[in-house]
Amino acid sequence: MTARLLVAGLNHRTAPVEVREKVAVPGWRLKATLRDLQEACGGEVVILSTCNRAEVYAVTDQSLPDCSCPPRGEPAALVARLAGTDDSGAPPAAEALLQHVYAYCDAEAVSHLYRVASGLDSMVLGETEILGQVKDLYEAACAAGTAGPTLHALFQGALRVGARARTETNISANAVSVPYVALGLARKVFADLSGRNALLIGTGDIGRVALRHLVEAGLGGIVAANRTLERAEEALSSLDVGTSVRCRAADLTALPQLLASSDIVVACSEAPHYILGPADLKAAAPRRRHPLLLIDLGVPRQIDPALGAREDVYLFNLDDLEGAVQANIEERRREAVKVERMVAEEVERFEAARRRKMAAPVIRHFRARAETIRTEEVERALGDLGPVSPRDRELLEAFSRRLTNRILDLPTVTLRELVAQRDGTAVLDVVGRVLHGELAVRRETRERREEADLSRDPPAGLHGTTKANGEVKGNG
Amino acid sequence: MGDALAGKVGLIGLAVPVLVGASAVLYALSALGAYLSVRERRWNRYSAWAAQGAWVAHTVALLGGALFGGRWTVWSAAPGAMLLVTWLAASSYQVSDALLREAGKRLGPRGQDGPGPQMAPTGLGLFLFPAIAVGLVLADVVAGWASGGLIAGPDRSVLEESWVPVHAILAATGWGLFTLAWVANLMYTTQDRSLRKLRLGPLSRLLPSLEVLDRVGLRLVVAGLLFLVAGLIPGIARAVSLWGATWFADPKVISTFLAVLAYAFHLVARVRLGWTARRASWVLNVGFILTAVNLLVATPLLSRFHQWL
Repeated sequence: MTARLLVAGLNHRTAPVEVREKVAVPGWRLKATLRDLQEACGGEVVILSTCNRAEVYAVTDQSLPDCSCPPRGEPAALVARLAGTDDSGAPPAAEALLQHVYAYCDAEAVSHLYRVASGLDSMVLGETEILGQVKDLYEAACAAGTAGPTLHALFQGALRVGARARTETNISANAVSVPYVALGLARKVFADLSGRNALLIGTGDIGRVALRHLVEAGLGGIVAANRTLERAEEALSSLDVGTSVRCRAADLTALPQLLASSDIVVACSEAPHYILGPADLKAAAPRRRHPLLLIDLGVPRQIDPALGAREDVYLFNLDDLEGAVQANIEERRREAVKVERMVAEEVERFEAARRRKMAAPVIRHFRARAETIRTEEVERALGDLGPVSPRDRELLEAFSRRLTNRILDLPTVTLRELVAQRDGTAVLDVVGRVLHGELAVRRETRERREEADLSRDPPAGLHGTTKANGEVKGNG
Repeated sequence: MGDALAGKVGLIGLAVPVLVGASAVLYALSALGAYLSVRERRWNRYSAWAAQGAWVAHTVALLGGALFGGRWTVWSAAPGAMLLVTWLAASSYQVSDALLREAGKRLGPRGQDGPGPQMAPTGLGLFLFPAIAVGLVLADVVAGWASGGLIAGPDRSVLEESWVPVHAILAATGWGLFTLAWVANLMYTTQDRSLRKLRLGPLSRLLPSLEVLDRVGLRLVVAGLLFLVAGLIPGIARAVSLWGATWFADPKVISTFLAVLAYAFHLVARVRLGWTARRASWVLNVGFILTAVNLLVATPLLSRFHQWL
């Protein structure tokens, strides 16, 4: 039976977090779970378990479960095994997962993994993290020894598609959240954020989120300023700030001095009026050597829009950033069409390679049969010729080998190419039937000959007749 | 023997304009590829191939001109000088592009949904190659005029003196660096406009940060001034000895000094007066116009003793 490929799993679209968290496989349990699943499937296994999905990729010689939608119980049972055992020592009931589980076989399974790796199936279209997760989990399966040749080819193909999607298209090129758009703007203004200072005005809920992003961006220094110093200090202490980022708290009375030493200002206080205007900036630094990036996240706005007219200032408010996010999402959607085409190409390439491999046993069998016939016929010819010198025997052997190879070369190549085509496996069936037909005829002929041998001595020409009959029928 | 050498020189004389034309076409194609790569990244590869092919053809033409003399000799004829200026700009492209790619990779934002480390193309070719292609076509045209005898030859004996190559090569390098500075300024203003209007499309993504472009542009102006002034010193010294006080009364010399003034003012405005790159960009535009006038009008058409044709 031919090995087949199966993926069974659930993701953020098919299952709520309460279900996903039950089947999530933590790192410490991954190896044992891989082994358990390998025993269950009897073939190769890779587990893809992330925040948004839990999937089992398996290659099995067993009869495949039904991959139709909704799937029957077997894929759900596989996914249920990801959960390990509960307190009572039993895995969760597969029936409970049935409505959430999807399953794909062969080309559809390949297509699914390629779409996952290229970010098409992610919650945030085109996100880049999934490719690293696919790589890590594939490597974990390699280390556990549960990935075999088929899954090696599948996952290496997935990593290639993922990399192509990100380098040949713009699917991951634009930020699609307000903080990342703002940081992207900062990186378009300044070459290196590690030498830049940021001033955060307002340390409420939005301010704390902004502060976390500023810290993660690796800025040289951050000042969190608030109307009350205590509140600013509290916001800083709530963050686990690394030693590379210099953070300090300040109150807003020192705004002119703080402005003079800042390159980026993020305003997200709740003041009902502008807290930063042209006069403030002029008082702080009449002539700036470096540009100033102002991000106004407040509603109502905290920074006077008149500042945007200054040639050393880049001012963006919440609407600007959200508009950029929407434009970027639209661009990702446009790029996704290209990635879908890329995935289809790569799936076809994988399937063609897989079909070529399927042809290998048939070709081996085909050539082995030809070799058997060649050997038999050489022996028969030598028998008919009587005593021959070793050189003549060698010549005859070499001649027969060349002849067989030349006859077989073209059919072998043609068979490989035909099988590699989209509906090529049908050719394998035909060739298989032809070969089996030939075998049957030859077996029948041999039996007849043996019967005849028992009854009388064979005449001199009978071998040739048998051979001719066998070959003609076999080839037909 | 002499006939054979003359034949070779004649062949090179025919080959150089063809190579110059071919490299102009390849530079233009590379710029087109860079433009298309804004939407389809795969074009970036073809653009790079065309740029490399153009640079090879350009280099062979330059060497051919230098080895076999004639109008394509870099220090004794305007087409040759233009060939050198554009070659220096194209060579700087290879270096700058590699540096900017590296900077893009190093500084490229990362994050769950932020851009990945794939910000390799820099978009420099998109801005630089059209200028180079135009320069090469003009050089070909000027050489064509000269071969048609439209421009009379000057006293060529001065051009045989040993200081002339130093003067011409240093000055040509300075002009090449100024051209690059103008291209960096063009990229800066494009990026600045994209940011202010929040048009963060593929072109904006392709370009480096404003700070990088500003820094590169400023350094190019400084280097250009150093080379040009260093090149002018031997020229001025010899001109004074040859022509006395009247040496200055030449369109080529005047446009050169105006260009030097413009670039020097740009430096003063940026460093001493605290002008931003955006505010000072018009000065670079003026400088570039003076550079173009100097190389394309004053040298081949107006100059009294730089008329190397």
